[in-house]
Amino acid sequence: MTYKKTIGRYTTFGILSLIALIQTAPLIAAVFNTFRSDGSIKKFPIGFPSQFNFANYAKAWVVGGYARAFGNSILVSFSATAVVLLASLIAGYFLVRSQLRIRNFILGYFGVALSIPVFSYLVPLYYSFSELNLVNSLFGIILIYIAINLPFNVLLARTFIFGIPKELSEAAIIDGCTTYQTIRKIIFPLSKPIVTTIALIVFVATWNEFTLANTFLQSPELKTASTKYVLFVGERGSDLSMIYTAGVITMLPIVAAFLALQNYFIDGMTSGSIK
Amino acid sequence: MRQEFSERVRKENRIAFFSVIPVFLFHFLIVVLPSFNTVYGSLTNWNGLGTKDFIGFGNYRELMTDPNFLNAIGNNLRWMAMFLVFPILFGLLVGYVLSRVEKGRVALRAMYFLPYVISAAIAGKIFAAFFNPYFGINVAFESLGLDFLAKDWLAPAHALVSVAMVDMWHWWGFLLVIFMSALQQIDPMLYESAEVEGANDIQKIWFITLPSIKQTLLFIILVTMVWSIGTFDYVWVMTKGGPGSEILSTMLYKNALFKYRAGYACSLSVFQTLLAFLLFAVFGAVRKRMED
Repeated sequence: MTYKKTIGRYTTFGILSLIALIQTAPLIAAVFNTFRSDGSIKKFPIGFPSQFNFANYAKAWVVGGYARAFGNSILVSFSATAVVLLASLIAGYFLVRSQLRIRNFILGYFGVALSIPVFSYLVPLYYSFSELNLVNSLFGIILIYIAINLPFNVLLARTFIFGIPKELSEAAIIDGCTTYQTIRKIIFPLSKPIVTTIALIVFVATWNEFTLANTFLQSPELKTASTKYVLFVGERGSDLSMIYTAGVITMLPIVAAFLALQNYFIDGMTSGSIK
Repeated sequence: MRQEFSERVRKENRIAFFSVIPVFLFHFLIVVLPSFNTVYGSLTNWNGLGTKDFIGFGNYRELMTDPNFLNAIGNNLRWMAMFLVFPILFGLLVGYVLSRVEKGRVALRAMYFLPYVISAAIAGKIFAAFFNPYFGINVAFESLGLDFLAKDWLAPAHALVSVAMVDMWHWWGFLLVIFMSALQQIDPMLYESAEVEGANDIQKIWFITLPSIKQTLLFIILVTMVWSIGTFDYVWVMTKGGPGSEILSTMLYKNALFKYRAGYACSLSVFQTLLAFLLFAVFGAVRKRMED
C-alpha cells in the first residue's frame, strides 16, 4: 500500500513536472536562441547554444533603441502607479469614513466602471486626444492609464481601509490632526500591504499593456518597451537571432521581478477575482 | 458645542467631496464620456476627423450585410468555444492534482503562471517567430518525421487556432491559481467523511469538489464568455486579424484607425458591448439559478 502510494506520488510529480517543462519550453528555447547566430537558428529553430556570447544582446539593445524604450516604460509605469496609488487610498478613505451623500453613487459607479471594455471608448477617445495633442505624448498615455486603473484599485483600497479600526483615525482627529494629516500619519502606514498590491497590479498592467500604447504612441521614439518590440520585429523580421534576443530583453525585467517576488505577483495579479 | 460639532462635520464633508469628486470626474471624462460618444458616433458617417453627419441606423444596416462582420462573429464564437473548454478544464484538472502535492507545489505553480506576467506583445511575436513556416518549429517537425505537423500555422486555415493556443498558454496558469485557492477553501473533513463512507476519487470530485467550487467556476465561465467577445491583443500582434482570424475587435480597429470609418467602428463597438452585456445578463440569470 505505501509502496504503491509512493509510486503514485512520483508519477504525479513526474507528470506535473513535464507540464511545467512544456509550459516554459518556448521561453527557454527563445533564451537559447539569443546565444545563437541567425544562420544556425534558420538551420534548426531549437537548439542548445554552442557558446554563451552576449554579442546579440549588445546589438539588439542598440539597434532596438531599448535605452529610450525602457526609459519611456519606466516613466509611464511609475507615474501612473504613483498617481493611482495616491488617488485610490484617498478616495478609498473617504468612501469608508465620510458621511457624504454621494458615497453610494460613487461606489456603484466604480463597480460598474470595472467592466467597461477598452473598445467601448477607444475610438472617440483617440480622436479627442488627437485634437488635444495628447496622441504621441507620454503624458496622454499616463492620463489614460491612471483613469482605467482607478475603479478596481479604489475599490480594493476601500475594502482594505474598511478593515482598519475606526478608533485609530478618530483618536488622531481628537488629538488635533486634520483629515489629511490623519490619512498621512494613520492610514498610509497601516495600508502597507494594500500599497504593495496596488503598486504591483498597476505597474505590471501598464508595463505590459499593448492595445492603448499601440494606438496612442505611434512615433518610434515614444514607444514603450513592449510596443517598441512589435515595431522592431516588423522592421527586422528577417534576422531571427535579433527577434529572439530583443524579445528576451523586453521580457527580462518583468520575468526577473516575477521570479524574485512570485508570491506577491500571484496574490496581486489574482486579487479581486478570488472570492 | 453642538454647533461646533456640526460645523466640523460640514467641513469634513467638504474636504471629502472635493477629494472624491476629482477622482470620479477624471475617470468619467476619459472613459465614460467617450463611451457615450461611441453610441452617438455609431449613428453618423464620421471619418474621425471631420464633422459627424447623422445617418440613423445606416451603419448597423451595413453591418448586417457585411460578410466580414458575420465572419468575425463566427471567429469570436469559435474563440469562445475553445476558451470555455481547454484552459478551464486544464486549469481545474492540474490545479486539483497540484493542490494535493506538497513538494514542489510553489515552484510548479510559478512555472505554470509565468506566461501570464509576459506582455502579449512579446509572447505573441516570439511565438510568431516559432510559427515561421520556413525557419520555425516546422523544420523540427520535418526532421522528426512529423510532416503532418509541418504546416503554415499562421496561414488563414489555422491562424485562429494557433493564436488561441498561444493565448491559452498564457491564460490557463491564471485560472489554475484561481481554482487552487477555491479548492483550498474546501473543508478537508468533507473528504474524510466521504472516504469513511467508501467514496472513490471520481465520486469525491463529483459530489464534493465541483459543488464546492461552483461559484468560482461559474464566475470564470462568465468572464470567459464576456472576454472572448472583446479579445484583441494576441490576435492583433500575431496576425493583425488577417484572413482566417478576423474578429470583432480587429475589424473595429482597422475601421477606426486605418480605413477612416470611425462611425462604422463605433457601431461595431456598440454591437460588441451589447453582445457582451446580453451574455452577461443571460448567463448571469443561469448562474443565479444554479447557485440557488
